[in-house]
Amino acid sequence: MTEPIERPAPAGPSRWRWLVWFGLLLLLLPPVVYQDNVFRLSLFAKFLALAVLALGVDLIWGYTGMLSLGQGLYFAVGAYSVALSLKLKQAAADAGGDAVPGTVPPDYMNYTNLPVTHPDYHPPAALAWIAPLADIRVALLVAVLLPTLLAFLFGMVTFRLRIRGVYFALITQALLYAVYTLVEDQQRYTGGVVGVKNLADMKLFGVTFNPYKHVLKLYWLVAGTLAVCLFGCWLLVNSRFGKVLTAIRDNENRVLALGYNTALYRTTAFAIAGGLAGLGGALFAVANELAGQEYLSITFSIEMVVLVAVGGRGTLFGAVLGAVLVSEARTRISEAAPEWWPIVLGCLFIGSVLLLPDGIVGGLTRLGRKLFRRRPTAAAAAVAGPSANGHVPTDGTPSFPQTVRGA
Amino acid sequence: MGDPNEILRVDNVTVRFGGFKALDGLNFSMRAGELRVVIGPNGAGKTTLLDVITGKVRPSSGSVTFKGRSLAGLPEQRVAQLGIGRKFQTPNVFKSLTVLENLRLSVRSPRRVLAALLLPQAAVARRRVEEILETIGLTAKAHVEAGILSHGEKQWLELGMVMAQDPELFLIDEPVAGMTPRESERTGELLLALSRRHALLVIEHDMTFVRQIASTITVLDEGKTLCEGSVEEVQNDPRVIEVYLGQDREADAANPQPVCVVR
Repeated sequence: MTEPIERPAPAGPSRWRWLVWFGLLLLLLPPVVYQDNVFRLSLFAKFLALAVLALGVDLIWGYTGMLSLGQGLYFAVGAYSVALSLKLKQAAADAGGDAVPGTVPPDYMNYTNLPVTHPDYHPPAALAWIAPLADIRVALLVAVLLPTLLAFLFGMVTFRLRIRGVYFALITQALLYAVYTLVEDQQRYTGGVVGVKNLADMKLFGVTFNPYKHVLKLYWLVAGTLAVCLFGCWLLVNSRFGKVLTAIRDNENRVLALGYNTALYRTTAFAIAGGLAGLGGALFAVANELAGQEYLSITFSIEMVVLVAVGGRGTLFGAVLGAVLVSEARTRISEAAPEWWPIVLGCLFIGSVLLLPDGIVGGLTRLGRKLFRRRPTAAAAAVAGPSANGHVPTDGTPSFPQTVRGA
Repeated sequence: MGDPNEILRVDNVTVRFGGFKALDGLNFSMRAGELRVVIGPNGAGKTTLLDVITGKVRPSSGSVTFKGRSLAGLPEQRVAQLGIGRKFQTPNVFKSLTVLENLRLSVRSPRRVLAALLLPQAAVARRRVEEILETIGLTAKAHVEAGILSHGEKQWLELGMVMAQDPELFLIDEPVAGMTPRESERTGELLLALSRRHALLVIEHDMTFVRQIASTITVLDEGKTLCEGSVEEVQNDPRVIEVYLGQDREADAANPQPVCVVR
């Protein structure tokens, strides 16, 4: 009796397993194709960093059904943590040979200050706050943990208040815009519209990462991180936790009636997505050699949603594929006609919603099913039908055991 | 208060939606292991009664007690964890999960986030899921997405999900809506079998079905208990006939109208 149940599901994880492996193989492709093209390879490193963020978007939007238009916030926290760390290192290097990173303020903090050499010079108060980031390991931890914590707190408040759907999306966007304005306003602390740039190379465990001089190392760092995140998310969505998330998307009232604290599940998923965004931001800052206000712009966060919509929400591979394809399209189009990109982005979104609601991966899956005439659901029923419990449906209605058992 | 067998007590509960009273000082109680059918005309407050018990709707006044414990202020998931399971009026299953996954989420297992993330499901729970699949006749469709099941199968799956929760009190809202007579009869058998170990509160309109399963019926009208008793008692109660048919008859008597006037 247990045999047909333990048999792997035709529409279940096993179908996706090969896709995940295929996706990991794709990561090997850019270094081969763009062997001598440092520029393209460093671009791909950026795309894959965005893919880490897109995984989080997929987790909360594709799987749980919560649309966030403010993932750029968590991305930016990660990006600024790492950029500030590298900036402190650069400031120390600029100041002279033996200056310790964290003691010398970055240039932008001194815009309204006296010259550093002046006897009445006072180090900016902000320096004390960011000094611990001088250690890149601390900065990387902060880049992941701080966004996770922020997202957790944000989720605790909004989900306990039962804020859902479009209201949730609007609040995430409002918060994003508030921080955007704050960053612009507090130039002495954040670098304002200019951002944090002119960064030192990141040196981690004795390896130096630079998007031009050491592009291959950087690429493998980002690709490796993405692979780990992809695997982690795959475990996550196939765990009971992941099934509860899908159940919340389908019917939250039912999940509540089953005794699950859905607010906590939503919060946890949102926190994980925040952490992924922070990690993506950290890697992106290294690959882009910049942490700027544009990560906090509303269009950036919307673009992150479009990545997932185009690739295919509800499939992890779709998120990664969308991140790479849409970003590549963005680069190509921006090179040719930059003013057209927002229009193309909008068309992509509308097109995917109208024509391919489940994105490229979903569309391909449906096409594959049609071509091979294997509708897995029908196949499963046909195969397992007669033998499973001895009650053969004869009149088209599902059979019900004559004597009720197990009650 | 005194009855030690009492599992559920709804005491003087009023629910207001704006100016409308969905429940109006309702009193209601059930003993452990009882199968109770609640009937009443549209808008009598049947589904609101279930909403109040499960914590989905907060009563404006009055109290709900389950096994001697007040449910006031408890969130829905806590009420469910205490042992109250609910089957909704329209089939509420997780359409993009398979039948098996639907049941695995429902079966008794730790509900905490960390447990769901890290712990594999206990073997006992897995066996229980297989038993229930058998009981509801969906073993062959264990790996089918619940969204493509037929209406009757969805109803059974949801019943199976509530069974998997193993609650002490089942709240079942219109279990046979949209079922064929044969499906409906089998559902009745299932509920009767369940009632040997659990208390069941069933809301249903289909009187054939009610006669099949009911021992005691409570009739609600305008948010109050109109009467309680056996099927015969209730069917012969003039007040019941009045609320189901009366208003029309009174109106007809006062102002007789031809059904159709041809000029």
